[in-house]
Amino acid sequence: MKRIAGVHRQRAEYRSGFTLIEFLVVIAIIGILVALTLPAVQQARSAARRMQCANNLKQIALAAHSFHDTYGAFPPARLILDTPRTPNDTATRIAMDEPSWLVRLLPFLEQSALHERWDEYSVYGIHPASVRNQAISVFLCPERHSPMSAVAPDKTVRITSPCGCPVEVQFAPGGAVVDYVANHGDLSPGALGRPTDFYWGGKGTGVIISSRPVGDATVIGRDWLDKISMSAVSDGSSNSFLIGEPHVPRDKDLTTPFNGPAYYGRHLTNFSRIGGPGVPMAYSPDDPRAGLYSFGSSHNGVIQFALADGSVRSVSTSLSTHILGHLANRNDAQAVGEF
Amino acid sequence: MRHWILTVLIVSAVGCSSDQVSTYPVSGRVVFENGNPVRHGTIEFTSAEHGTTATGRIDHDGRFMLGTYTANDGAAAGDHNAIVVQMIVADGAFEHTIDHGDAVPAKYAAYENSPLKVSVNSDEENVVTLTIGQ
Repeated sequence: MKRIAGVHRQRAEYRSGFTLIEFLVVIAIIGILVALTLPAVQQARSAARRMQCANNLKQIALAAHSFHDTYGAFPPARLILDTPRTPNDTATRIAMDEPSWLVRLLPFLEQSALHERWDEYSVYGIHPASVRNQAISVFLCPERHSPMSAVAPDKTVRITSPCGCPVEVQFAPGGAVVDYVANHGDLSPGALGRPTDFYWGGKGTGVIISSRPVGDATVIGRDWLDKISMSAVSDGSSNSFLIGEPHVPRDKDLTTPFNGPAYYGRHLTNFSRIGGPGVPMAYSPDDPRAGLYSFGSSHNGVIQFALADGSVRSVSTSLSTHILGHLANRNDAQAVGEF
Repeated sequence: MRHWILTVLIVSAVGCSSDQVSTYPVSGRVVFENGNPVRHGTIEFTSAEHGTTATGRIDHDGRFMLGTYTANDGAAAGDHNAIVVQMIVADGAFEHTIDHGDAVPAKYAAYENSPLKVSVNSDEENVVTLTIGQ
């Protein structure tokens, strides 16, 4: 009898399996392990995305160099005349509705088929949506956009005339956005002596700048003035930015003028940025100091730039704006040492 | 082995203590001589001693807070040169609906021409008022 009871007890112990305590301990250990490894995995993923982002930058810089080899100059950021239009002048075309520099690079990024559907000297809006909305993955930083999420929609903008006359409705064509922007220079005043001089044709101090078209104000010729060649980058190609990353506040994604259709030459800040005194780099999309024209980052405290020599550098956003300005300006006779 | 680990930790900790200078909160207001606020723009201080730059955006009432490394962390102590930059491009390209108020003269946008000078104190909260002349 005693022996049978013993067997019975043994079998009951065998069947009992884990106690609740043991089970909870195992769960807790697994939880701790996951908590330890998850940040590392996330970090590895974001490092890979950032490297992809830098690779794309390098590709675009090489394409700009190929463009330079073919045409003897870097592409113009866009076409625009060198002076503002007078207030009541509606006849003069100031020529800024043509496509931007990104369209000119397409043949050098194995996008010849798409490039053939563009005309760099005609108005952006007449191109069909299938051309305008074509997002190119090399123009996108994986931390910001995928080709599926990189199209700004068409918009209808309502403007009330100053006279209080009927509301004028303007169609603003949408299109693909990009995550890499031209270095348009700093705020060094040009002939007009204003900090906004850079906006006009030939006045930018960067490497890919707004340039004047040939021809007069009514007929746009098929070439451009203000060509910036490698020899015009007199500070040295390793001392001047070529391409960078834009500051885009979180709520301005896919929105003109921060991050709108980038093939459209009208809104300068959809495809270029400036830097220097008064225009700091943004350390994050939430930086309240940065404005519309600032370079900015989706990485932590650094912005990736391609220099005019084709190299890609990570630049700390805490750099003084003076050094930033020397790097953005192609010919201020200020070579920058280590930065 | 333990000493070796300790050495590595100390060296890396020293390596991390960056070359950033100490900054002190700076806020204030930018006004014209007639008392109207500057309603739009960017203000920037450059430290004469360190060369660091602190930047702030001017709000619709002329108020600003400076940040050197992050937002609102202030500026380095000591004497600074200051600039006030307004970028308004009104050419029909932008649908302008905001009243920017009076325009800041262009000379305030460059350190070579700007007469603005400010001293930042490390003992107290810095609240400065800058006046824009002609």
